[in-house]
Amino acid sequence: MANKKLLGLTFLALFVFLSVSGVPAAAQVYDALPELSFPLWVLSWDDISVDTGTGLKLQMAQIGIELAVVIMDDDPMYEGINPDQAFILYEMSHGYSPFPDHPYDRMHSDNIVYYGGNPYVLDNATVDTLIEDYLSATPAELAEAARLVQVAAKHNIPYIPLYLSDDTHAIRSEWTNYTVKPGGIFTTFNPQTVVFMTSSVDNSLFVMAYSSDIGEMNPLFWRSERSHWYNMLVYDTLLSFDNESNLIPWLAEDYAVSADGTQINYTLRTGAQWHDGLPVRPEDVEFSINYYKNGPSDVNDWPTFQHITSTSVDGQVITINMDQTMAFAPHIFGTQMYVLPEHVRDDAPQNDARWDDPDNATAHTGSGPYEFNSRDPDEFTLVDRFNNWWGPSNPYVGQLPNILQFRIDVVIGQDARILAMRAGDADSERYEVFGAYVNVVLNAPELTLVTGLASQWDYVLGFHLNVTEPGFPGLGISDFQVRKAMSHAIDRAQLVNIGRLGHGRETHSIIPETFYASLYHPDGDFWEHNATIGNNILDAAGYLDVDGDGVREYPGVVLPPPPPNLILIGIVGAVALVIGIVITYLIFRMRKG
Amino acid sequence: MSEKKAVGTRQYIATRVAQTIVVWFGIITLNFFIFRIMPGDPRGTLIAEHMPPEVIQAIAIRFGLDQPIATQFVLYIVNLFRGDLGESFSHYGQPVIETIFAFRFWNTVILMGTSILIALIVAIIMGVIAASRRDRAIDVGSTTVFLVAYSMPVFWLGLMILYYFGFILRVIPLAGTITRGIVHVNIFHYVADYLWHMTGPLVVLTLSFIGGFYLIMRDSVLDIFTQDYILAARAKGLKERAILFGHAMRNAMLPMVSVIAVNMPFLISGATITETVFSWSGLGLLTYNSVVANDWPVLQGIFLFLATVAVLSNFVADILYLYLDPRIRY
Repeated sequence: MANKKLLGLTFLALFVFLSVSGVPAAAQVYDALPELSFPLWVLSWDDISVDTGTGLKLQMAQIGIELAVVIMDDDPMYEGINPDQAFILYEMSHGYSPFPDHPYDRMHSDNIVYYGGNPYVLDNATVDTLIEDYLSATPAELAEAARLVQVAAKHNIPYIPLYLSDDTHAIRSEWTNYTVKPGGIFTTFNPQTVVFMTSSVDNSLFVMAYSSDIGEMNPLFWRSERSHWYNMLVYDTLLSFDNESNLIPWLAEDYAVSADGTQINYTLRTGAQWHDGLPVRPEDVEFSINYYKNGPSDVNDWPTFQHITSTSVDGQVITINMDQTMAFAPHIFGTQMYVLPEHVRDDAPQNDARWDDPDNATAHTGSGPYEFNSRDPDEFTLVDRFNNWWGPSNPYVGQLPNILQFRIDVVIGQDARILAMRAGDADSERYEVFGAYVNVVLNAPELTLVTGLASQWDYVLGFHLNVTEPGFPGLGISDFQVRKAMSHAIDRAQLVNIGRLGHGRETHSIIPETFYASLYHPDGDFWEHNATIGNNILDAAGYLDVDGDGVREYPGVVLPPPPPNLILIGIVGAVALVIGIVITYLIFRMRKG
Repeated sequence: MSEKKAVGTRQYIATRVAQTIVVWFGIITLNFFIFRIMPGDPRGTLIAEHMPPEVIQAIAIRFGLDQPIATQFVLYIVNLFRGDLGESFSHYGQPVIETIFAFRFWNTVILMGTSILIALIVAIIMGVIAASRRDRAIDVGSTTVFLVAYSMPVFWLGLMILYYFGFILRVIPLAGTITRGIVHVNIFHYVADYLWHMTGPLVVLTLSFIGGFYLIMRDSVLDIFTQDYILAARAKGLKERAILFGHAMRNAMLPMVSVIAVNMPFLISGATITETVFSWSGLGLLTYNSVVANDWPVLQGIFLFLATVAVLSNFVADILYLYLDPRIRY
């Protein structure tokens, strides 16, 4: 009896289950179609990244590609991009250095390493060769090599350059005459700013508020731009940059590169002094070169120094011979290496603790426009104008700094920094203002918002080239045609408006004209904005919106048979249910009878 | 003390010593792994854009990040017993002991110690007075004020004080522990300058602490008032002040001892938000920055120090009980 009762109940349950479960199963068929729908990672704290991501989502929808903007915090985002490479698409800014060696970082297969600069996994022998040719080009070859690299990027698209955000800086209104050059007014490649800047009220002190301490004082090991910026005040480089990012004489009064690029001569300015009054000698420059070269391998730019085969001094000329041509060696030796005094450093290793000791002023002897005065870690670092600086003898400078003292203060919160500027406790802050603080600065009568120049932050749309949809190898994001179509869909002007409220510069090439005018080439401009062309490319490649939901499916995906008629399913289910109930009833009735 | 009791006590102390050592070893093990399961990698902080692969590798080698986790753990333990807590990642290569103790530890202890002390004194006095005048204006008023202070978000209160007293009225400084760039003429000048800078964060922290202390003290005194010995004191004709502060307050202090003990870790761990708002360089801020930067050695150092203090405090407290409370014998 129990078995029959159980059988009856099972029978009933089966009918009910089948009639009910059939409906959602049928409805899910279309969602399972493989389509051009991807998550786009953007960086949570960067309003520009988040807003630009929204703009990209709108633009990609025009060509039938669906982006889901995923807002990520720092650690998961950076770790997810590299080393984990768990991303499919990301959009955020990277930073430019003052000379365009970044194609090697971003596109050469050497940098597909843990925390390397090529998270896109672009591994293309031709591209590698073009980049190597570019980095080893002689001065005469460099422009053409740069053109070829730009064209290669356009035809591989590991990432799409979008725009450079503008350098929107808050500064007290009495300050004027800062130097405007790509990167911004307060970058390490703009030492002229601190020389030329002047106040209509008082030039005795300029205070720069930082959100954290400058960290490393040893110029061989700077790890943050904060520390690098302090180094720039106290130490000199041989060369610097003009407003078009061309090399200009600095501590060196001239430089020359041999035709094959393997020999570089720097002519040291005469009359330069160290902060302790001793003369800067060509031997100090030679010592510095070898001090960098012979340091531990985590010294900045250490690999480039390893290509030096010999150095020599002849009069004021320091000669560097190299085992190969390196297109940017004059830049690296000239602008990234700080010239250090042999008489102070000679007996100590490169990472000696005294170079970070705030109480050892001698350890911070340089020849830069300012000399170390005092420092209290996490509080301030004070430097005084070096009145024997060589500036007046350099036609690119022609004067001593106007400001007598320069102080770097730690003021952690953005609100506190703005209040400090308004109160006159600080004159500017190291980083740009963005988001709601732009309006705060605009509404503060004591402050000026510096705009109208490109920062070093270039926003890009990056692709993980090895991502494929199961069953569709080589298609989707890893398909060049898809990336090309996406490039056509991008309206950079609109993105600048959405992401940066108009304060930005479109970048069309991986070596953008705004930043690197002399090496930019229009042949490398990415595919022009034209959504129609983008749609045509995807149509031709077989990415069609077969289900009519506005998102294109992968090639070969066909519309499955139409889903069952839901009303019919409902009727059948109901009938089955009734039959089940009747049969169950009859079973029990028979049993009782 | 009889010989039997002395033997029992020695056994108890020996057991507690053994337990403390085991716990401490557990802590140093946990201390190594808890930060490595956080999302993020210190290389994200150490490695700047444009660094060549060779430099990236060299940095990893310098800090031992290229080693397997087991090897890193062994190195950590070995170095720990050599008194070496490692080098800070975010303060590139600076010894962790220097990073923690050079000045940040003292900044936190002075700020937190002063604020807890002031909050305790005010809370105890006001708690006793409010309880003695229950439901009167001073009770309702002080309870309302302290509850509001207790409920206010610290960062908001800090920003308000910074804006109105630092910017509008210019009576407190906007950032730091000292006036930047000046040379203090003597130690008194330095102390005065330091205390002036401490005003803002001190007010915020005191207000944030005082509400909790006050409510516990007030409730404790109200409870004491129901005790017979208070009735007896009144019957003896003692003055109300003597009853309040001589009998009620002294007995009501017992629960406060527990409250004080619970708040002791703040003395060392600091107050991250307040330290951030006022740019007060203490351990709270250091902890926050170290978490953001995945500076594992510094985090290990801070937490090891905190845990060691906690374990030792408990051990010392247990031993002290033996002598302070004659009822406790083993």
